[in-house]
Amino acid sequence: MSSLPKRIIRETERLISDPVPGITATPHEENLRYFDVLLDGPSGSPYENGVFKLELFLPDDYPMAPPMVRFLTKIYHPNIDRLGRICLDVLKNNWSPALQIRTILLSIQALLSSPNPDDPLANEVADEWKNNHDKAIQTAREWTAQYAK
Amino acid sequence: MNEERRKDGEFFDHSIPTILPSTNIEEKVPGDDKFVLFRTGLISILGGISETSVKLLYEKFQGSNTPIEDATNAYLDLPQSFTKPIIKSTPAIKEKKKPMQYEYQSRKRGIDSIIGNNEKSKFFKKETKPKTRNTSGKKSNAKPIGEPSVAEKPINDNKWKKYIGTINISCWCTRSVFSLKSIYEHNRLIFVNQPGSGAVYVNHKPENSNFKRELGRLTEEMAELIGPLLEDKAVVFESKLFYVYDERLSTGDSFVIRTDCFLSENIFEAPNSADYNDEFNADQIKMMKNSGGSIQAESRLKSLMLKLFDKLGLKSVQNTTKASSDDLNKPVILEDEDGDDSGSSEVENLEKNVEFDEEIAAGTPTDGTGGESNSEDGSLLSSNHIKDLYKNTEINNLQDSLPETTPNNFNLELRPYQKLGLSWMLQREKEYEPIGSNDEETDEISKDAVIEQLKLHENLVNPLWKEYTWPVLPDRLQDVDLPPNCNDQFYMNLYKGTCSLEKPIIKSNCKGGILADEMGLGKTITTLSLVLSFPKDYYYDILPDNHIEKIKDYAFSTTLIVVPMALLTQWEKEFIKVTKGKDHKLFIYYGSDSLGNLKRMLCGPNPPTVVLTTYGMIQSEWSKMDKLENLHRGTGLFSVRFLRIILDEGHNIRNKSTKTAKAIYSLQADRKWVLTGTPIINRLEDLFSLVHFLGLKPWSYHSLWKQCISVPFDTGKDVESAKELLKSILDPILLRRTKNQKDSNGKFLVELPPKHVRIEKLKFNKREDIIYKWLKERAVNSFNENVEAGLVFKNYSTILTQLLRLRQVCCHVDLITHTNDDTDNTLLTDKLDILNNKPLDQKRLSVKEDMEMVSLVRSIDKFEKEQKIPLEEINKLKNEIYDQYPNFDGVECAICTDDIKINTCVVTECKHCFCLGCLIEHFDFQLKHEKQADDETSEDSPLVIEKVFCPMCREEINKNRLFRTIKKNSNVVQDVVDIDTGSDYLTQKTISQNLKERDYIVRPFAPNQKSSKINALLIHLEMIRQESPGEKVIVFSQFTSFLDIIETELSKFEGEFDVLKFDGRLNLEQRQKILNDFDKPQFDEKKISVLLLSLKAGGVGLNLTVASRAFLMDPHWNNAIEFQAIDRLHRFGQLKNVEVIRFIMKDSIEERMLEIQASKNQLGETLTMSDEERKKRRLEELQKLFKQ
Repeated sequence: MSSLPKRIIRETERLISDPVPGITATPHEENLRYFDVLLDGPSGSPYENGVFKLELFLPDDYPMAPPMVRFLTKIYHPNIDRLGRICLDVLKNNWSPALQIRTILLSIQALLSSPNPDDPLANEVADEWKNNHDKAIQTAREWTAQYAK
Repeated sequence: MNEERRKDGEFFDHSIPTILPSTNIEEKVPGDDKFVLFRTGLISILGGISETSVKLLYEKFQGSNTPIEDATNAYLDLPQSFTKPIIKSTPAIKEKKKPMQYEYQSRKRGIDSIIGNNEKSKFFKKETKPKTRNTSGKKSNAKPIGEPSVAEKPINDNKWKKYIGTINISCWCTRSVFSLKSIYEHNRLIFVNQPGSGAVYVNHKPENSNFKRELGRLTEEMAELIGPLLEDKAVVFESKLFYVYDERLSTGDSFVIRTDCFLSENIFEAPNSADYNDEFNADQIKMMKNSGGSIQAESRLKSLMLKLFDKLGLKSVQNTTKASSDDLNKPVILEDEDGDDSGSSEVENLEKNVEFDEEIAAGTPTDGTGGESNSEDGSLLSSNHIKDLYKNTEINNLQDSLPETTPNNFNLELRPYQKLGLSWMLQREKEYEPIGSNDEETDEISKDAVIEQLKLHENLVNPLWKEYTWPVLPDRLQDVDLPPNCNDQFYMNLYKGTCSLEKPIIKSNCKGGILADEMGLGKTITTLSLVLSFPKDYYYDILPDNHIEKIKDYAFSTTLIVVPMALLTQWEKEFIKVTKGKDHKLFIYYGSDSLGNLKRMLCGPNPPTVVLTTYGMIQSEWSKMDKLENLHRGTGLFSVRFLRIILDEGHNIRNKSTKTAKAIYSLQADRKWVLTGTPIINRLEDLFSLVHFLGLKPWSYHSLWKQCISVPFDTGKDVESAKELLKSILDPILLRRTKNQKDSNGKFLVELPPKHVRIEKLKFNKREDIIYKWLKERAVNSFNENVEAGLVFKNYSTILTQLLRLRQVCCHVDLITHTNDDTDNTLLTDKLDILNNKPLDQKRLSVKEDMEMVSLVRSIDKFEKEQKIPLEEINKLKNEIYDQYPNFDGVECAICTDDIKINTCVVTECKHCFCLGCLIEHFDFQLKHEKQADDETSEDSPLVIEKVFCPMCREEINKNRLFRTIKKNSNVVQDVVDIDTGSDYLTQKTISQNLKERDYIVRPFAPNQKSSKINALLIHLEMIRQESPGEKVIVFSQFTSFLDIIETELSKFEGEFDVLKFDGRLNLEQRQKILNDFDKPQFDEKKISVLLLSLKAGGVGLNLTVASRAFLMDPHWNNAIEFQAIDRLHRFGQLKNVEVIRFIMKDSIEERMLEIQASKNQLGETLTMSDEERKKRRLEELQKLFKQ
C-alpha cells in the first residue's frame, strides 16, 4: 500500500473538522483509505428520516481515479441496485480529480432527492418508478422505515 | 624433518651420501651414536631409504647383534612394511654383499668403542674443555671417536665460545692414510685455511702435539663458507673423523667429518653501548660514507653467518614468538588475521574493478583511489605494493595494549579509536601519566600496571637484530665453558653479522611518530587532543632557572603546527572548537613581515599553546636565514626550540632535497609528529624524509636507509628481508587505521548512517518516445546487420555512437540534436573501446542519419506547434489570467488540495490552475485510460494530440495549450523566451508591463519540451524543498551538456534553488570556490542548494558530506563508478541518512545497462581475461543491449 497522499489526509481532516450536515464519513483505523459513511435521507424525499450506511474506498490512483462507493443499507432506488452499487456519472466517466469525498457524498444525497429512472441500474425499480410512481414512492418509504434505521 | 629432530631430541638427520662427496649433509648433534651409525650404515647400503623406514628398522633391530645386516635384509624383503609406521615382523634374510662387509665391520668396531667410551667419559667430565682460538694456525679439538666428551686443553683462557650446532662435512682425501687407527685414537682434526686459494684443508692434529698431518680438503662450497669464518675468527670449529668407507683412506676418497660449531666471543659485541645508540657507530657511518654508502665488509660476514646458521638449522625466533611475546612496544602486529580482512579486500576488489575498467578506457587516467600514476620511473612502488605495506602497518591490537584516554578540557567527545590514538601518541612522547585518564574501564591500579609495562618497553628492539635460541648442548659437549650470564637467546645483527647476548635495543630519544590514519578518521582532532593533553613541558617548567637542563630559547609550552595554506583556517576553526576558546591561545604565524619577535613571545610569559604556520612561511623564512649563514637564527620560527612540531599533510616534505623539506628539518623541537593519510606517495624515499624529520636514529641516516631499504626494494634483491625490516622500523612509530577496520566490539571504526539507493523508473514523454523508438529501430537494425556480416568489431565505433545516442535521448533530446563535443569524446571511449585500433572518426552518425533525425525532431516540433495557441490569442488569454488571478493567495490546486505555488502552477486555457505535477498526472491517467478504451483502433500513431478535460470545468484542455506562471524578479525571463523553441511571442514589452502590476508572469507552456528526467528531478527537488528547506542536493550526470541543460532549467526557479555546477572544465581555483560555496550553510530558509556534478570530475576525492541527497541522472556502464560517486556523500562526517535516487528510463537502454551492471557484479571482472574472451563478452553485452 502506497503511502497516504497529503490530499487524503487533508480531506479526512476537513470531513471531521467541518462536517457536512447529514453526512458522516469515518475512516477505518487500520486502513485510512476505507471510510464508513452514514447518509441522512434528504427531507422531502421518500428516504426522509432514514439513515443509510455506505462504504467508500479510495483506490491507489485516487484522486486521478474516482472513489468506490456502495450502499450497505438496502434501498429502493432506480439508480441503486440490490448490491448497493450506485449509477452516478461523477463516480464513473464524469469523475474529475477536482471532486472530493465530500462532493461525491453530496452528489449521492442529491441522487436520492432526484432519482433518474431514465438511466436506471435497477430496471424493475425504474419501471415501477415510471409506471406506478406512487407505489414506488410508497415502497421506498417502507424500505426506508424498515432498513434505514 | 625439523620437528622430528626436535621431538626426538637425539635423533637427527644423518643422510650422509655414499658416493657423492660434494654433497654436504647438515647434521645436528647426534646424541645416540648407535642410531647414527645404524642409520649411516643403512643408508650407505640402501641409498634412498626414507627416514621413517630407518627409524622403524632401528626400532626393530636395535637389539640385534647385527642390526644393520638384519635391517637391510628385512627392508629388501618387504620395503613397504617399513614405509609406514606399522611394523610387521619380517623374517631376517641374510644377503651379504662384499663391500658391505667392511662397512659393517668398521661400524661394529665404532659402536663397540662408543660403548666403551661412554663409561670412560664419566671420568673425564671435570677436565677443562679445549678452546680454539682461531689464530691463523687453526686448531680444532679432535677427539678420538671413542671419546666424544673427552676434555681437551684450553687454547685461550680469555675467550669463551658457545655451541651452535653440529654439521657433517664431506671431504676429499688429499693424502692417503693406510691405517686410520692412529687418527681414530687421537681423533682431532683442524681446518687450515689457505687464504687466497679458497681451499680449506683438514689436518689431523692430535691433542698435545704440534704434529699436523694433512688429511684432505673441504669441498669448494664448504670452503667458501668456512674459510672466511676462520679468517674472521667468528666461529670455532671442532671436527672429528666421523666416517670412512673403508678401512683405509686413499687419495681421492671421500670421507666425512663431524664438526661442532661454536660462536666465538670475538663476534660478540655490546650493542647497547653508548656510542652505538646515539651515533650508530660513528666509525661505521664514516666508513659507509667513504665507501659510497655500502657496508660491504660486514654484509659478507652477515651472509656467511646466515648461511652457516641455515646449514645448522638455526632459525631466528623472532617471527614465531612475536605474537605471543609481551612486547608492548610493538603495538602493531604483523599478521592481519582479523575479520576485517574480508572487508578490506572487498574494497580492494572493487577498486581493482574500477581500475580495470579505467584501464580499458584508453586514454582515461586512472582515478586517485587506485593509486597515483605509476608510470614515471621504474623504482616507483605499485599501488598494490603500497597497499601491502600499509596493510602491514595497520594497527588492530592497539586496544589490547593501551587503555583509552579521554582528554580533559576537550570540548569534543573523541571516538574510541581516537582515544586509543591519543594514548598511543602520549606513549610515543613518553608521557605516561595522562594515558588512560577518564577511562572508565581502567582503574588506577591497572592503569599503573599498564604504564609500568609501557615504561618497561619504552625502548625499541633494534630491528636490525634477530633473535636466536641457543641449541641444546649435546651431552658430549657438556663441558664446553659457557659465556658468562648466558641467556637462552642470543641476537645477531643482520647487517653486520655480529652477535650479542644482550637484547639489542635502540634507546631512542625520538619522541613522536607518524599518524597515518586514513583520511576521514579525524587526525586533526586526535592531534589536537594530544596538544591539549600535554600542552607544555611540565617537568621543564618546574626546573629552577639555573638548572643545568634549562635550555636557552626553549618554547616549552608551544606546539608548532605546520599546515598547507589552504588548511590554515580549518585548523583554526577546529582549535577554537575543541578549546572553547578558553585557556589556550592560538597564534597564526602567517602573512607579511610584521610578525614581531616570535622568540620573545614564545619564551616570555603567557605564550600561545599553538603556533599555526604554513610550509610556505617556513620555507621563505629558512631561505632568508640561510643567507645569514645559519649562525644567527633570527627571531622567527628557527630561533626557538619548540615543545612539539606537527606537520599536517606531512607528505609535503617527502622529497628530501626540496627547500621545504630542508627548511622543515632545520626546525627544532622536543617532539615531532607527522600527520599524513599517505605516508608513501610512490616510493620508499618518501618515507625516509619523514623518518629523517623525526630523527629516528639510525634510520635518519640516508646511507643506511638506502642500503637497507631503498636499494633492496629498487633492485628487487632481498626485498623480503627489507620489507620485514621496514615493517619493524615502522611498527613502533607509525599508526594507521582504516575505515574498514573494526574495533574490539567488531564494529567498524567509522559507523556511517544508512544509505538508501533507489532506482526510479521513468516513462518517456511522447516526444522522447518517438525519437527514442526511431533511433532504436535504426540502431538495432544496423547492429543485427553487423552481427550477420561479422563486422561488429569493425564497426565498433558506429555501434558505440548509436549506443551513446540512445543514452542521450534517455536524458534529453537536445543532447543529440545539438551535439556537444566536449562530452562525446570521453563518453565514447568510456568503456567499450578496447579495440581502439580505429580512429573515432565515425563519432557522429552518418550525415544522412543525423539529418533524418533532425527532421524527425522538427516534425514533432511542428506538430506540437500546430496545436499551440495562436499568437494573437495568447495575449488575450494572458490578460484574462492576470485579471482572474491578481495573485495566487489562497488558491488551491483542486487535485492535491495544496496551495498553488507560482513556480509550479499551470493554468489551463479555461483559466483553471493546478500544480504542474498534478495536472500532468491527470493527463497521463486520462490518456492511458482513453487508450485502453479504444485499444484496437489506434495503432499507436506516434503523433497523438494529447487532450483531456479540465478537472474543474470539463472543458477540453490540450497539453500544448497550457500556461505556466513564473515569479517576478526572476532574472531568467530572457531564458524563458529563448526556451520556447524560438517562438518569441512573449515580447519584452509585455513582460515589463505586467511585471509592474503582478508578482508573477505567465508564459505558454508545453510539458513535452522538457525531458522526463528533468521533470522528475524538479518534482523531487520541490518535495525536498518543502520537507527540508536548506537541504543540499547533488545531481550527478556523465553528460556535461546535460548538466548545462539542468542548470538552465533549475535556474528558472531562482527563488527555490541555488544552483552550482562542477565539472572537468573548471580550473582548480574555480573548483575550490564552488565547493566552498556549496559548503556554506544555506541562509535562505526556503531554498535548497543544488550542486550539479559531473560523474567523472566529481566522482573522486571530493568530500560532499554536507549533502545527504543525491540524484544520479544516468547510469554508468560500471556501477562501481556510481557507488564511488555516492560515497562522496556517504563517508565520514555524514550525519544524516543518505538518500540516493537513480533515474532510469523505462523500456530503454538504461534498463539493459542495469542488467549488464548486475551480471558484471556477479561475475566479477577477471583481470586475466584474454582479448578474445573480452571480445566475446563485449559482443554478448552488445547483444543484450540491442535485444528487442
